Amino acid sequence: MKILHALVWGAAVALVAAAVTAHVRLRNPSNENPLVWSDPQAIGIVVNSTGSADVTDGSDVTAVRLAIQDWNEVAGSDVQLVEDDSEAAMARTDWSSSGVHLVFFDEENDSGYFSGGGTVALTPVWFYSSGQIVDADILFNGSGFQFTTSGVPGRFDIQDVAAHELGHLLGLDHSGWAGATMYPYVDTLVIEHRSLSQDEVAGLRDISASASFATITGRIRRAADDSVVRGAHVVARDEFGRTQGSILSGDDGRFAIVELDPGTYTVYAEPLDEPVSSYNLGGGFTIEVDFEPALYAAPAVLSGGDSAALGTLYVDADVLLNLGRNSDRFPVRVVAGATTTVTIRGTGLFTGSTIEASDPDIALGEPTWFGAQVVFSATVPAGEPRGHVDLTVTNAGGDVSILPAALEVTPASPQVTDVDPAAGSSHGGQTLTIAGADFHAGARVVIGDRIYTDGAPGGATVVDEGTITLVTAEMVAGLHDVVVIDPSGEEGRLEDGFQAADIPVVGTVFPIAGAAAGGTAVTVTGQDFQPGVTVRIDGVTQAQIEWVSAVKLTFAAVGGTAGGPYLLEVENPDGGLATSAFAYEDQPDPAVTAVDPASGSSGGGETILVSGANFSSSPDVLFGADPDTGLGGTPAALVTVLDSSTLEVVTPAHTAGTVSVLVTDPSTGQAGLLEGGFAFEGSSGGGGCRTVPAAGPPRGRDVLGGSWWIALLLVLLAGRARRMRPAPARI
Amino acid sequence: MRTLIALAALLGAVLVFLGRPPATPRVEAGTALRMDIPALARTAELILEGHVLATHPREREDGRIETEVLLQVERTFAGADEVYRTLFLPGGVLPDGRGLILPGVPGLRAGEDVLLFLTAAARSGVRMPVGLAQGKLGVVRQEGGAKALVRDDGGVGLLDPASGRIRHGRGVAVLDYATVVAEIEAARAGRQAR
Repeated sequence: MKILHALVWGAAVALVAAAVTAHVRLRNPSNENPLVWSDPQAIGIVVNSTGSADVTDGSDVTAVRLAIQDWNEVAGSDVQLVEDDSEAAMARTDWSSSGVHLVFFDEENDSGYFSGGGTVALTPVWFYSSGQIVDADILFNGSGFQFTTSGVPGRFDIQDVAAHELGHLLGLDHSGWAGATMYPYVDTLVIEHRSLSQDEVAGLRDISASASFATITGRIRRAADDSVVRGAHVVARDEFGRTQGSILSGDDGRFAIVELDPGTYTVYAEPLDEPVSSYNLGGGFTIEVDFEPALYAAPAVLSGGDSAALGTLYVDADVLLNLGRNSDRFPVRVVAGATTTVTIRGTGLFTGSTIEASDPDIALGEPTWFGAQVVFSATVPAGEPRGHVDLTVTNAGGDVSILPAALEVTPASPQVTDVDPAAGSSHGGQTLTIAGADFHAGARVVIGDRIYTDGAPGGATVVDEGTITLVTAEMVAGLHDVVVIDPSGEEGRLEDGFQAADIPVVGTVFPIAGAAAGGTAVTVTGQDFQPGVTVRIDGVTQAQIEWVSAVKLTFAAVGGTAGGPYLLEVENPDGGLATSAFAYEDQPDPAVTAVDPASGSSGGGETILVSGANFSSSPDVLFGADPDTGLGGTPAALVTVLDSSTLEVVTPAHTAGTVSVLVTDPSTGQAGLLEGGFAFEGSSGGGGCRTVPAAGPPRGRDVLGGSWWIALLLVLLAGRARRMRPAPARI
Repeated sequence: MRTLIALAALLGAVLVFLGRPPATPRVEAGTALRMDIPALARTAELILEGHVLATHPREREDGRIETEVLLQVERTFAGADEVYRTLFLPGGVLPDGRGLILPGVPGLRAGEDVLLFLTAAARSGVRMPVGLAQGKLGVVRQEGGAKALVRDDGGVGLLDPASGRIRHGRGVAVLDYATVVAEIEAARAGRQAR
């Protein structure tokens, strides 16, 4: 079976190899088989949780995930990176193991690949002779360089570098496009590799397409002797002058630009010399550069999955003219609605030459020629779509040099000016409104380790160019930058724009009202209570506050003016604040001191006496209510008030066990509870104490969870409400 | 006497490599800092100009694949001056077809004349070209016979296969040899002065 599988695999690879000449795929240097995963629709990947030593807020992992998301969202390809984000997987560091495809920051040069030498990151790719990739891992050179997710000067942008390296992991080699993500060089000022160019889109479609696309075929020959040109860089640009696809011609000079969308394309061939040359490519390529760029006279018109055969393009001998050096900083970003000064190096850039952009919408100013470089301005109209534009230089003698995808058109960078509210619980659920400018559809918002994608479930919504809304997800506590990333990769950032804190959350307050004279024992349940927590009612700090756990605290109400409901505040020592409500009543709290008899049948129907004090004229009695919250419990079958200190109660049916007895005043919310006050006995018992939560709030009085009960309280105490202050979250 | 020893070493080395399948470990890619010649010179621990005599891919005990390169050294700009150097570069393709490629790391082929800017050797002995592809320059001869340096595949199209001289590629960045040497020397001197 294994042999059969191998044969099938080998045949598949052979078919791919025969059909593929597009853009630049990684190849087996020994036989030119393209490198490809056996299951490109589900390529496992793990991001080591330690991340970069230079980033401490978890945004390093987020940045890698953004890059993964970009590759996974390429239209027309079903190639998918599937992240294993389990704790165990993310703890792995054994990157060289074939069992894990790891993104790893090599802080100690454990790999041995970073012994000082300008390598920012590497992606070792292991493969079989067939071209099947068996392992690939991404190593960031943490020992030699520093990384950032927030534009710290002198550091490399993690998302930018990760996007490039993921391309290698997927099976792509370097691109001949100066503006492509797979352009070989990077520096600390560049983040434009974050956004994938059409070259990467076509490359991923080439690896595994999810639809049919069009193809342009042809052949490149030298005019002088009719010999074929091997490794010519053949590029297609659309009717808008935007660079859309490219390939390298084969050893017979033939090419096939595949995976193109319908449209009209201008096709040209140019030598792959500078700034990207054969040295930047892996093995298996023959690159000839001894010719002058040339364009096909007629465009290729493509519809649907058609092919267009352009025939032979004859190229002239090489010329002493070249635009672009690897010492230039690419991509050259030009911003829609702005003018940018551009400097590009080269050869033969003398006065008398002309330079033009392939997109006629982009106006180039009068250039200044220095022989080895040219300086000019590029003005992009507002609203121009993002994409790449070629530059063509023609010298006085008519010689031509073309730099593919030299300019990357982007919108202006987003600006984030305000986030409202500026703080919230690390547990999420906070609705945020982000204000700023230049927000566009498809934007992503990053807060801490969370990504919110425009339009995605649980994501963000770009309301307009100045507003984004989202609901926070659970995130790492701390101060976080709020980053809005345009689909072009450009970003805007509000430093420390949002604080996610372990803000306490109040779930229940029991009871919800107490005697104005004070002394009511109150239990508060919720989340993230910290030792040292304080409780205030109507601004007055309460007494005997006891932090029981992160989910429970108790205090004795000091009392106050009858009325309310008053604001109840629970404040952690770090400033995290939660609010609820509590009311004071003129009357004393009910108290339950004894039950006689203290046990009875689980079948119920037995009459008992409940003794205590301050019972109202129509109290409720529950058996088995939760002592901390007052929730649940089974109502008594019948309650008769003998006097304010004695109740005659008919027990309900109840599961066997010892339970609490709760007496409440439904008109005020005051309560008295005797823990373990009554034991239900019966043959079906033996399970010990067990309370049965009610399906809903029995007789509307004893459930305090959620916000609805505050409304209920307001109704109960209508007319007596006093100073109800706003309850902003405060850190 | 030194010449005889050198010839013997060369003969031995060639014999060692004979019978092994020809390797084309043209490993490549990755992300590299853009670097000019002075930066390359300042960063490199070993700078050699030489002729690649042979290459041999091998698998290490930890499963990693590397390529052993025998270089006849013409000139040493940095590092110990030796007539022959054995270098270990990461990546390569084994005779059984298994391979390791590091996109961006330039390969070396037997017969090439190169100027290499190399990092210090790692514990494993492996060195990396500084700045990946930028750490390798092809040494070629111009029409007048003068040396020049190119950042391109000097064996294909660019050179006349008979003479080894530049045939085409006027659009290719051809670096003046003397200028590059001067930049290397100046950068090294500056590094030592610091």
